[in-house]
Amino acid sequence: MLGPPLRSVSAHAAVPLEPTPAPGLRVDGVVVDRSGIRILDGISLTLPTGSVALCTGPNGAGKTTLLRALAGLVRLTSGSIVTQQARTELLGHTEALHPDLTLAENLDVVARLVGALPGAVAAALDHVGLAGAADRRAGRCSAGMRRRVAFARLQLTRPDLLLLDEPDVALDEDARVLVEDAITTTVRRGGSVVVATHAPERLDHLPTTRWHLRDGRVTT
Amino acid sequence: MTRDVLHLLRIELRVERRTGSTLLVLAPYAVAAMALVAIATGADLPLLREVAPGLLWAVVVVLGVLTAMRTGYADDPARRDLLQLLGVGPEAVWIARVLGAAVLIAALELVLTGAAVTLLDMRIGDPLLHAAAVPLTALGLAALGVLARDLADGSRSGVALVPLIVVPLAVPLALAPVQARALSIAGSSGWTWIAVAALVATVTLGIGIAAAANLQELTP
Repeated sequence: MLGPPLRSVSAHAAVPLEPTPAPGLRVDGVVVDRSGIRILDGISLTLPTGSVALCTGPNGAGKTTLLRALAGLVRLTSGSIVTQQARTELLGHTEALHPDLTLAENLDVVARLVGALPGAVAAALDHVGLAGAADRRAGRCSAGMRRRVAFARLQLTRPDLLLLDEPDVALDEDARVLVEDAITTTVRRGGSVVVATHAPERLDHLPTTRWHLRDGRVTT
Repeated sequence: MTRDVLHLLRIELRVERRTGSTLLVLAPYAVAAMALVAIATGADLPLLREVAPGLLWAVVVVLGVLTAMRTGYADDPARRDLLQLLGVGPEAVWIARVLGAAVLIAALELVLTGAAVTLLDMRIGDPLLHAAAVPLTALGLAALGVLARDLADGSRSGVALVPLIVVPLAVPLALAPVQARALSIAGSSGWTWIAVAALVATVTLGIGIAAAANLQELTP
């Protein structure tokens, strides 16, 4: 029987994953330089499958770049990242919505690419309380509504490595439950979650691992 | 890949049909430019007939490159990241961006051809040559504009770099239909010039596809 899918991002060559214990995510000596500036400086971390890491640190510490590197969106200068997760979703500072498409059309772009079932878009919008705004253009929605749509997208992509960058920005108190819902749903599916946040206390009640970054290095 | 390209192309055209942000904005200016030339010459029809083809394709080059440098669905870095995470390859994204722009440029060319015939009394010559020139120059200008935009985004000199990239390759693209038409009216074959346009379009498209992954990384 085939094992779980393996995605490896490396500056040089793929690194084989050790059989036991099997971390969902392993980061080894990752260095990222952009335009001559060292943004990540020898990051090494592991995250077991089905667990949550909170990534904290001051502005410019490298949190966003680390998340983008984990998603495979950044070329590593050196080091490697190995993950067992097949589908990764990064919910970053912007929601990746086209302002001239309706909320439903924006989600439909994703639904078609992932082969979602008919009705999945409507169900996803309903899940985040936006069923009544399906036909409204994204450019005419508030920042909080657009943020909700990004969480609705998770209902379609069902990632098993979920990367959240300041996920509760623009969300009101009622909508913040979506963040926790996305995290717990992913973990229940056996996935892993990394959350970059300036407010880790909001997720203190969840069992989490803490990564603190400063100047591109893990300090705790 | 074809399925992804067509999916993205449909989105581009849906946005344009809804907003008209390219054609409805640029086409009136282009037609006005032609009308102003006609007025400036005192409606000197023999002179207008002489300059009409050159004017037509010069306007097409300027507005065509502007069209290709607009921000379509897959031009936004966040949406491009999303597409990459959903498994759409950078080559598919690049081709979709070029085709989206090419369709708009071809539509612009048809509008301007009508204006040149109506306002400047231009003779089209061999209609088959013109029918071949329209899609080829549209494709070439679209590939050139998208390539220039990507290189400018990733360069410290920014948009100042664009003319250096665009002008050398845009000249043969503008010259080809003008020369082909002149030869056909003189009773010779103009297909050699159409082949020049096809060559420039193919080479530019090929460079973009080959470099698509690297170009995507250049985007901030």
